[in-house]
Amino acid sequence: MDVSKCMRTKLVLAKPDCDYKSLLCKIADPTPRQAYIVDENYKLLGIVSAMDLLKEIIPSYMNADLARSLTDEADFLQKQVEKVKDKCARDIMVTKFAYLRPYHQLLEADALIAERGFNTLPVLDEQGKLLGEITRRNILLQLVDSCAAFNLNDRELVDLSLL
Amino acid sequence: MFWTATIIFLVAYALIISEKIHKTKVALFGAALVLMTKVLLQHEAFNNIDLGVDWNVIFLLISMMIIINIMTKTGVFQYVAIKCAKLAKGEPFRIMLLFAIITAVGSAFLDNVTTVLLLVPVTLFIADQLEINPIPYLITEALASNIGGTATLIGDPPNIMIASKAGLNFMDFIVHLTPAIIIIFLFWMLAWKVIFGKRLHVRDELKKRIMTLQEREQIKDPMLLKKSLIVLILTILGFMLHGFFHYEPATVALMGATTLLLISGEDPHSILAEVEWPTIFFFIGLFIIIGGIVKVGLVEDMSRAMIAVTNPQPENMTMLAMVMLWFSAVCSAVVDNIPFVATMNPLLIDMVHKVYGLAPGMATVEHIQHQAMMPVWWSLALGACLGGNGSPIGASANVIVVGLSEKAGHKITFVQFLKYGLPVMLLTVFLSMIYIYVRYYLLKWY
Repeated sequence: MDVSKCMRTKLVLAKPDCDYKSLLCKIADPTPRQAYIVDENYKLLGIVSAMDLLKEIIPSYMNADLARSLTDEADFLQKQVEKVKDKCARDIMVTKFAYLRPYHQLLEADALIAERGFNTLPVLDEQGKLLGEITRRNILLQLVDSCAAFNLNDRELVDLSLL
Repeated sequence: MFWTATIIFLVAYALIISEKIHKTKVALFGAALVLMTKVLLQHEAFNNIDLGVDWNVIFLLISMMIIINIMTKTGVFQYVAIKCAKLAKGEPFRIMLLFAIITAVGSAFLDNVTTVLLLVPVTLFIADQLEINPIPYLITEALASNIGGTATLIGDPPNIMIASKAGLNFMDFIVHLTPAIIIIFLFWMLAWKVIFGKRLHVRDELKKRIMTLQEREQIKDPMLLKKSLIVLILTILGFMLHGFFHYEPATVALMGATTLLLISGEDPHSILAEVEWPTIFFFIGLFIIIGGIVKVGLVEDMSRAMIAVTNPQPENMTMLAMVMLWFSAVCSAVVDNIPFVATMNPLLIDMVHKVYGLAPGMATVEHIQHQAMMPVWWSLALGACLGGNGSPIGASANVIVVGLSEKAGHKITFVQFLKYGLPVMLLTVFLSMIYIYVRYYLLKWY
């Protein structure tokens, strides 16, 4: 099956001058994992993931042991956010990324995701224009859809806080 | 053969200085060429301590790396650093002073690079808490690690090499170099007090942040800490007594490393994987290249030139000691001090033969450690180790600090490092010169 048949087309987009706090708000929603930085013609310039945003806040020297020695974590994080608030998408985005074409097969997408350890891959046309994205979840859902043996109703969520 | 060995040596040296190719690759390829061209035969390279690999140095380095690799897992250095920041009550200069002391003491017994690798993150963290520029603190730690490492036999690789070549023991270094380093450190800190004492200020509420830090959280494995400290103390005790019991330092270190490996419960694969094998193989390659130039007589020619310049006498080598001190310091500021000392060691041994009129290979410990010769060895050690402070590429610890600082968003430029490092190098080498002159030539206190 072609990637174009199962890609998601509702994505989070941002301009290169989008500031840090706006980026944070844009991907605060649980569904999107990353924001796509595009120009006015929707040509993909870079990607900002939740991990990229986190890396900006957490200093390079910080490790789990040092973090444990802090008693006022909220104050520390607030201070770190203040430090990066003037940064914008072009300072943070990753500009070297793997991508798929709409005519690539789903199996190729699956292999690429598994090989490189990505969660999500953008789908671009020949001019680099962003068309959509493929996630691991898309691939899994496609697998479930194509196989009659799976029962889609068997996915009840359990609220652990009520136990 | 003479020109083959000389060309291999010069090209290898040039490539190591240029840093275009990794120094380990250069040293190993150079060593392979020395063997392929039969400048040195393989049994000479591996079995002759005068011409080939000095296994005492190699096993001492590997053993100390194993002990350090296990100790770093305990979190003790981070604990001590945060404890010191709290003891300083968040006062920025006191923190700088205490961190310099921890780094110097740590580097005297452990590898310099490991010491700064452990302390730099804590320093950046503390500076962040105090909202101060971490650069003066980080450069101070790099300088302190090079100064502290000079104090003992195991503090810096040049000292390990000198000790092995000259047959010096751990206590020789404690008696002769540790007092010099204590004096140098005191003068340096006095100068730092004048420069930074009034320039570093933080608000009281920021100091309170330091006092709320939980240093105990840094200790990851108290039992491993106890075991590591016991083994380290016993190993240092072993170093102090190795001369008395006629053990080589490498034997003591190997005993300590294997004991800790045995009782720590750590996986030997991961501990041995963390040994700095590129450094170990750099030493191996270098020993073989230097062995080549010793065998063909290049070192002998260099030794004749040095004798012509310094005119050493069997009972007095003042000029040689002074020249060796400054020459080593200047060279070590621009060249890795390991290949420099690897070249100087056989040169000094050859000079011993010429000055005391001995046939080749006839120098005994009495000649090598002659009263007149000892200040020359100490000058080489002081110059080679302290010279590393002269530039950001002069010592591995400097390179690591500059790299970590840049990664944290605080770029240290070459010139910025020079502004701190060069005056400190000049001050410390000048003080070393006074120390050598007063102690050995004025007071005759050998």
